[in-house]
Amino acid sequence: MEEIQPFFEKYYLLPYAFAFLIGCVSGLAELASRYKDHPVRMLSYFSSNIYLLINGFCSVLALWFISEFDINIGSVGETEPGRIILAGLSSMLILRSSFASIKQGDKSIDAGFAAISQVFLNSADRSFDQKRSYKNLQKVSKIVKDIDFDKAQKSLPTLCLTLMKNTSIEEQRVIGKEVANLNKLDIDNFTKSILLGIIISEITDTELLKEAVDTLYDSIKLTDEQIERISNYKVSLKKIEDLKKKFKD
Amino acid sequence: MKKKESSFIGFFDGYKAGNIAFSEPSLKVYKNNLINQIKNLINIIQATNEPDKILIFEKLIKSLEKNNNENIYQYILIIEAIKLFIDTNDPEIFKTNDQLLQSIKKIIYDLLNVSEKIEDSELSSLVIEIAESFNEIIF
Repeated sequence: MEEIQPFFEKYYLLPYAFAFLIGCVSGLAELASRYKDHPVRMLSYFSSNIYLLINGFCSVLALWFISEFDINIGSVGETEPGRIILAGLSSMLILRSSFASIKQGDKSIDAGFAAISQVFLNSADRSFDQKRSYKNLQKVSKIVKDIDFDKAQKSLPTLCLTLMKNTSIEEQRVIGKEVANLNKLDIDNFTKSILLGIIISEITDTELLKEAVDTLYDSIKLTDEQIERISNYKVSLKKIEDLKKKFKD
Repeated sequence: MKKKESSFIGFFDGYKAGNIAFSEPSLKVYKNNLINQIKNLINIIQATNEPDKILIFEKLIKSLEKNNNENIYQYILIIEAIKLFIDTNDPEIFKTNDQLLQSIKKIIYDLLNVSEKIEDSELSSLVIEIAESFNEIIF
């Protein structure tokens, strides 16, 4: 450690750069856990990048405070790398802090850095949801277009969850409940298949979903009669819709 | 994150729990609505000159109330009974008796809703047929 110390003294901005990087990485880890099905895509959103930069700057600020005011942080603070790591990780603490909780109606709003970071996280959430939903819907509807929900509702999630090695029991339970609820809904088979695909792709991704559908295709595909029935049903639906307008009043 | 203990046990746990907890009553609501509409229709028919025409609807109500399961045959029975009622009546009665007209319209509207929910070509073609023919009579 003592050998590193002169190096940091020579390049005095380097500790700040490291702290900045650690702050960004800790923010990145949080975003990755939020958007675990597409961790790379979130980097294309403006609000996500701003959030990472804020994390980085908070870490730089924390390091400046520690160094400038000689804050006692125990034995960790005795070496430059210790101070850098602590300052880098402190962005997580700073950005989640709030010094008051303001009650507005039924909601309680945090006053502090937590509220600021939440603005960017919410914005990232929205951007991510919009783009993900659009792209997922396009991909999933193509993958499941010939799939019979009744046949696939157990086998498809079971295969995907077996292939996924880090899905917790609780996550599986949630998926199981969602699929069971979906099964009971009074909606058409195709919509159910799309929703099943979306539920699974949130845990796996569309690539694995496609592989699983391809593997099980022969046992979960719609029969020719079902396809014909669905196409007739779509024609009937249009007529029903028109007739309902006439009979409504 | 808690690692999974078995490859897919959680999924089936949740599936079972979801099946127990979930009750989406929309079809049951339609069936109950239809029963009420038919009871209302019976009252309206009783006030007309041909009260004996309620017999088929009374039998229908008994059958619907006895059977707790929702299957398409119950709806087909309703369609057939309404069809028979429309076919055996002078079309003029629907133009002169507004209560009767509105009652039949409400029943057909509910049947259209049911056929929209149930993917069954036989049911939807029967509902469309009765709706189209009644539409021709009243307009």
